[in-house]
Amino acid sequence: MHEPAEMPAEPPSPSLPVVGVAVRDPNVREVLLALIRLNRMQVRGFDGSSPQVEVGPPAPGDSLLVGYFVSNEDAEYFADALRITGGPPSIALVPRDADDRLAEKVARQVTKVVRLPENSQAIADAIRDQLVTTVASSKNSNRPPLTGSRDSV
Amino acid sequence: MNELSQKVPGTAASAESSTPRQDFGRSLPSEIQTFIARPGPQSLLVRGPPGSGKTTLGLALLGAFPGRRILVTNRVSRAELVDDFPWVRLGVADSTQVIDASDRQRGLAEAAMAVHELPKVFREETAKEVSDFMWLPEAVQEAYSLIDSNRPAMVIIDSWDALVEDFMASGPSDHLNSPERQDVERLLLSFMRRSEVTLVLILERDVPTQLDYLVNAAVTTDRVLVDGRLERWLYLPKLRGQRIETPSYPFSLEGSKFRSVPPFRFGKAHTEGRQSAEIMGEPPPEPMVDRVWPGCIDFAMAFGMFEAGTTTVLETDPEVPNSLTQVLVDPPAVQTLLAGGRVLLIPPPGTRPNDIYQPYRAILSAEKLADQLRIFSVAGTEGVAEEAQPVMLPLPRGPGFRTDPIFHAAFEFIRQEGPANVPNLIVRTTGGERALAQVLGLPVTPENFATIAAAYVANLRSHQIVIGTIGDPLLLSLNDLGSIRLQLRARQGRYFLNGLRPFTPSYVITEGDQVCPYRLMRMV
Repeated sequence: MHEPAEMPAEPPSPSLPVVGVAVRDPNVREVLLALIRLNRMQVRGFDGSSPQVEVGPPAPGDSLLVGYFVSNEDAEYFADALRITGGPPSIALVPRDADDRLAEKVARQVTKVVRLPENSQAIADAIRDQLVTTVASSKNSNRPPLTGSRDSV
Repeated sequence: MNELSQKVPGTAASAESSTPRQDFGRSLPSEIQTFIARPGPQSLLVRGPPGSGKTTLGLALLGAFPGRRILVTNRVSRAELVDDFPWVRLGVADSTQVIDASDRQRGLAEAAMAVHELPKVFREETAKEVSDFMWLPEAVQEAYSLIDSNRPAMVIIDSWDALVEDFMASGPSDHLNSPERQDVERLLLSFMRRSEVTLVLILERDVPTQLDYLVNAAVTTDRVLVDGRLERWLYLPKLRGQRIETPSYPFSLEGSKFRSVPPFRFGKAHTEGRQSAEIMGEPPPEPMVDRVWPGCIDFAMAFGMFEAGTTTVLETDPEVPNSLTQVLVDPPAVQTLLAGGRVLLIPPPGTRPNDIYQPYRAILSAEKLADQLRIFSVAGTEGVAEEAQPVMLPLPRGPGFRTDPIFHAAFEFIRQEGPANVPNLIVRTTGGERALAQVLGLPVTPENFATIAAAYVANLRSHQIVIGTIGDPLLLSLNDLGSIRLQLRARQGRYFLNGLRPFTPSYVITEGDQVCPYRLMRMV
């Protein structure tokens, strides 16, 4: 055979923090999944009238949850998703023209609120910054890391 | 035969337990090794019909890649991957991210509807990049998210045809700006080229497309039947910026592992005279009883051993050099001598007896060779060392000679028995026989050739190997005699050995190692 082209083995990939996208509107959910993946963050999507994991392994432990709110049903859906994932930090995306009372209610429920529309990179940065903060604080507090890992064979 | 492999270290079966990672790189054609070692971004198409080895090649590429490895698969599920390629666990899986896209994923229509909603989320002027990204199948998006911008990555999509066709099939969309397949492919390459990514797209279609022009490299795999025997070939039609030394490689998928075969290079055996270690072969796993050990476990497993009192016929292409047949013949000859048996050689014309003698002399004493080896050659004994003279069967010169004593001497030599149960070995070439016949003034015909051949092994504890070119009437005359009938063909710098009797798959002769001057790779 040929001379060996020895390649150093790379260590197994560490578990990566995962962003959960708990959005009822399937189109907005697709948009957010794409945005997060485009910015090279790991993502998990939820679907259904009550939150069910649609993308990624169905396990609690998301490092961050992102929601989109235009109605009280969205808020209830998101609350369910928070419960499933163990209540990680969260970011709410709320249209500027949303009902004020809804916006106030959401603000009490989540870690950070972003009003829409916004620059795509600004949203991505907000998610990434919150993710970094979450991971760093979980390490400092000796709390079990909120991570998820991709499937490997 | 499995018993054999268990008894001899270093054989295919015993190699199962060795570390596979080291095999990945060397199993690939050198051009592909060089290609994947180049810094990304790079893109490679792998095209071939179903069952031609594309997935296994893809896994070999992953195994040889030093950085992050990502496999998007919709042809083979994750579970099937582990079942079908158990070695993956050992070598590839420790750092390969597998994205199983075998389930239905969202398609173009859903993407179009989502793109339509972008203004809800983004300011218009910043949405273009995200909307472009959304035209990629979801599994590709996921693969992209796993790329680390600080490390090289290999992304393999198996198969791109199936993935993109499934994605496009969810349309037609009424979205005015929905992309066509070639647009999706341009976007795919555009996004992957943002990082040090080696992108490998496995295709099932056999029709060149725009992709062929956009990528850096393309390889094709094929499987063909030659006389009812499977052969697999890999072709290198395009490697941008790289010299293609060898445009085609046969390969095997034995053990679900990809192994290509470079052109056969003769070692020192060809250029500097045969070396003792190269011709000796490997010892038998157990004492041979009334059988000649072929000196190579691969040969024994493929074709069996040489039984006493029988004949093996080896037909070769005219393109096969004598030095290659010598590579096959030396090990059983040396092993016979080591076991105490006798060996009679009738080499092809043009062979200098000393070139045969000296490598044997490096292994065995002059006295032992004088006792056990005879070389019958038209080249005579000129230039042969004094100590080697007893090994040479002298040809009579001048008028009035008689041929009988020479043949008598040959027969008498081979009739002598060595240790109990150790057969002798006769290796004859039809070319050498004809040359001798010409010198001796004796006609050699298919009739008398068959008679002589039968006489050599009849009532003798010897095995006979007869070598000639395919279609040689002398060989055809042995049709009823050859217990083993082999064919050795040359194609594109490789040598394929297969059994006509018994019928066997094709084996490619590969370079040898410390143990044996050659190895056989089964074409599966």
